[in-house]
Amino acid sequence: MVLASYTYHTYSAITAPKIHTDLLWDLVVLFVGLAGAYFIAIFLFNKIISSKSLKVGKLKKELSPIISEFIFIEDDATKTEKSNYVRLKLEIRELLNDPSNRKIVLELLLELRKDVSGLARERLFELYQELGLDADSYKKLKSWRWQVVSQGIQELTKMGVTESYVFLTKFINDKRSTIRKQAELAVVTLKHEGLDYFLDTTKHKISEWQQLKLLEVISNKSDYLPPNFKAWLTSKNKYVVLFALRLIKHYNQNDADASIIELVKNRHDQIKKEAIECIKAFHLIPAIENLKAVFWNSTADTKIAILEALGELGSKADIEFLQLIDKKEYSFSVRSKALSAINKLVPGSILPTEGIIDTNTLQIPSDLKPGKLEEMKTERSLDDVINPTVDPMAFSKNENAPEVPIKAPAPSPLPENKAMEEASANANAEDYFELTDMPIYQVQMTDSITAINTPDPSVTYQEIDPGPVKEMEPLFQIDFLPIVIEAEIGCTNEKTEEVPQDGTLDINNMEVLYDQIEGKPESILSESDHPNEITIDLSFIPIVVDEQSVAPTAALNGERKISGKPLIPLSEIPIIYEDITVTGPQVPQVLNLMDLEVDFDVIQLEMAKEEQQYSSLLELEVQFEEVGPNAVEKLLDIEVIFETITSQLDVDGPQLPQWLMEEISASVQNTLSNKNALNPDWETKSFKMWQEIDSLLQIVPPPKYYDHEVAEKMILLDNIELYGDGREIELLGELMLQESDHGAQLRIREIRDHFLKQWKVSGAKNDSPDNKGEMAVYSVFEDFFRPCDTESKLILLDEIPAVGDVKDIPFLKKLLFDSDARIREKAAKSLAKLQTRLLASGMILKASDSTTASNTVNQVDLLLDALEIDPPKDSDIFEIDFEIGIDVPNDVTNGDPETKELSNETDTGKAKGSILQRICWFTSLLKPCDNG
Amino acid sequence: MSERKKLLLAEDDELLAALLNFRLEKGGYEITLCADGKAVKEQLKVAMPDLIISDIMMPYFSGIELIDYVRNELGSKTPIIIISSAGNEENVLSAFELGANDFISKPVSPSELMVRVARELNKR
Repeated sequence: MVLASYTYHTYSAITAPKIHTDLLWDLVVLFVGLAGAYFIAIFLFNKIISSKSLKVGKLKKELSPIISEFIFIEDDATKTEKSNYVRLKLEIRELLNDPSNRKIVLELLLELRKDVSGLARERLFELYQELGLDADSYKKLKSWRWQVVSQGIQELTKMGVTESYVFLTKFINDKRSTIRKQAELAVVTLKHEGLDYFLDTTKHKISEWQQLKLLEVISNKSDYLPPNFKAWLTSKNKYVVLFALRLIKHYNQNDADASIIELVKNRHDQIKKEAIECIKAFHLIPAIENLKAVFWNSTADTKIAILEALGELGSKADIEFLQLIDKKEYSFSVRSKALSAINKLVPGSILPTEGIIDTNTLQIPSDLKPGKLEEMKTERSLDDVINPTVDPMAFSKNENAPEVPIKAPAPSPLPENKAMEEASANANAEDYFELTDMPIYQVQMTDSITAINTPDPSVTYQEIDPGPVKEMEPLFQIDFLPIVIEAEIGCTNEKTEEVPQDGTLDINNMEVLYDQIEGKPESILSESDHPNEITIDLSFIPIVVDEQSVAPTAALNGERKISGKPLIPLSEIPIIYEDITVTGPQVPQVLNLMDLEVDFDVIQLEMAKEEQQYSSLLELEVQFEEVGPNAVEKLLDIEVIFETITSQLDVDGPQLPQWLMEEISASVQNTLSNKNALNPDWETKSFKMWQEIDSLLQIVPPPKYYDHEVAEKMILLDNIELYGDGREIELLGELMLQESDHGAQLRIREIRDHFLKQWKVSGAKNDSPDNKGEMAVYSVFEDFFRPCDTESKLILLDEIPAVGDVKDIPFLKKLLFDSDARIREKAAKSLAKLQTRLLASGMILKASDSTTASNTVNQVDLLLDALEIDPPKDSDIFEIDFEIGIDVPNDVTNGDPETKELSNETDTGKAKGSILQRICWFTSLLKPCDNG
Repeated sequence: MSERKKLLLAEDDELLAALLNFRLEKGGYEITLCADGKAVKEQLKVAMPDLIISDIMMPYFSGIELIDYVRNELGSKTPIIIISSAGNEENVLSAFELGANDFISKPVSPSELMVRVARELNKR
């Protein structure tokens, strides 16, 4: 009872917990909120990603033409192009201040680099360096995140920064595999010796994929001479050895025989197998002993590889070893491979035994006729000779069955071919035996050969006893003929069944289809001619036609010789015409014949030159228009003034034909008479007109004829006026002094005044340039320079050496005294670079500060007054902490006066130590720049 | 001043197309840019350029099909220069069989392309 009371007592602990409805609602709200937040987050992320990709795409589109502009800028670019180039450079610099933009520009350059080659690729690389993007890639190498480092390595590799090689070699043995692999590819890509370094230093595994990638890199290298990879066969790193073996095989370096043979003994299967592959590839016969030695301690795969190698390299001496494998080896596949190797060495020595049915045990159905059984036997025995039946499923079927040792015949003492011949001879002997059991019927078919001698085609069947056949001598030796088996055998046998027992046939009543062929086969013997000889059935022999004797004729004439008739020439073939009568409704079709397209060749005949001219004149196309009588009158009213022109051609050239001349003169006379008749005052009008022309001609000044030199000068001056500006004033002054011709002097003065006027209008404060002889120098960079901040100024200064020219030197010199030390320093560097570049390019550098000493003193005074400066005697205001000018090597300046001038200039810069000299120099620098 | 020669540039890679477009325009040609085969076909219906530069691999309508279309359907003898990536010899061969005039491999050298374009135009 107590138990029962316990059992049926309701415990509150196992009742369903009571959850407050509010809590449930709270949970519902929570989960709905979470789901909402989740979807919103997805939506937002999607939006952000898509907008970002859109932005990137848009920016790439914007940047693409800018990059193109940078890539295709040329040295001989115009001023506008250069200005545009500098403007774009500044733009892109500003863009690059944003890291995300830097990333996009970098992506763009990397993408473009794989698409372009040649000069464009070089310019792309220069741009990559100029924009400082290589620094970004280097920075990535220092990151602690493996993906960033890997990206940095990849960027440097793709852009081909060979300078980064040293840095990247450090990552060859990095513990992070991705970085390591990227570094391996980078090292091998960047330098030819990279592969050597990599194979020498790597301590880690080289994966199969990595090996393939490396091989691809090496294969794509131009001018790459692979090293001798046998050097790495002794490496401690087994993967290096393996890779070296593969490379040896790839590059066919067959001078490492000893090492390769030794590597067969390597404990690592991969190396062993690769060495075996090399042995096979280089046909290293001395390796056979090693292969045999390592065979028993190898894995099944290696054993198969060894057996394959033995099959290729081995000899009969190795058959015993292979037979031993067949007996001792447990692995089915290895045994099969061994047998296959034996067959390779002695072909046909192992015959298939699995799944072959024993023919002796076969039961022949009793209801079969003896003839049919023999026929079947014949077919089968012949089939066996030609195609020995091997059940392809035999091996698979018997895999689970107990293995039956294959009885391999002992090695035949006979040579290979002899053994084969003997085997086939035995087989054939059996077949012949079976064949001799068959009754042999002589079938003489009425074919093309016998038809001549027998007026009526007939077929004779004659049963022959096999015994006498063997004894008789055949007419022809047909041993050389192949055994041809056709389905016709069956037909022949069917016919034999119809042969009466007595062997006689009513040949006259036989239905025979025949072709009558003309000819005289004299050599063919008929039965009637040689009654005692046996006629051999030759119907199975294919008719062989000598194609060479027939083909040329057929090919040339395109005709076929039929029935021995001679060929008839095409011209002699009679043509039979048929009259086509067209009746009523078909008439329109006849009319359509006019629409027929006729193909014809235009035959051009060579004509003499005179005749050609003549004919061309006569062939002039003249368009005639029918004009009514009123229109004729109007035309006649038109006043025509004409002159009689007698050309040389008319006098000396070919005369027009008489009829044409007569026609022309008649028409001219007719016209004149008509004009005089209709307009009697025509002559008066003509006279007046001539008078007007004369009066006009008197106004025109008489022409001036220059001699050749002056004419050239005038052309030059015209060009200067057209293309030049204020900077040409100095040149014009020089020309003025040199010029002796008064006309030219006037022209020079005119142009100079014109330029001076322009100069004043443009607000230039150049006071009488012709007095000072100073050339107004204007740098395109100045306009960009003024509004820029310091950073931009520095960037701009970086660009000047690349695109600047002589005109920018004064501007740079001016900047040497800028208030900002960084600009001064950068300007000095840029100046040096620019001068070096201009020197190298052979451009003439004129020292713009070559003022005379006397002028300088005056200018200093003037400048000091203007600036209200009273410098102390030992002031160090203008002391600068850098060297101005460039170091020009002796070999560069050797014998070049212009270069010497430049170097003198820079030396002067160094030598001018005193304040006075420095100020003089400073003024000379300022002078050309004060216009800008 | 002689009239500028009109070229049709069919290239699906926007960056490369923009680059080549810039270079060819700088070289004095008038360029019509098409990003896919369909656009090329439509453009050819409107006007036949003096020369066609086409990438082999393009969406909708490959360079090979383009040559076939120009030569066999339109019956035009307009010179066609094919751009193809290296190792695509089979396509290049079939392009030549169909009647392409010249071939330039990727990565493309713009200077080389300019020379080839000029040569094809001078042949006419």
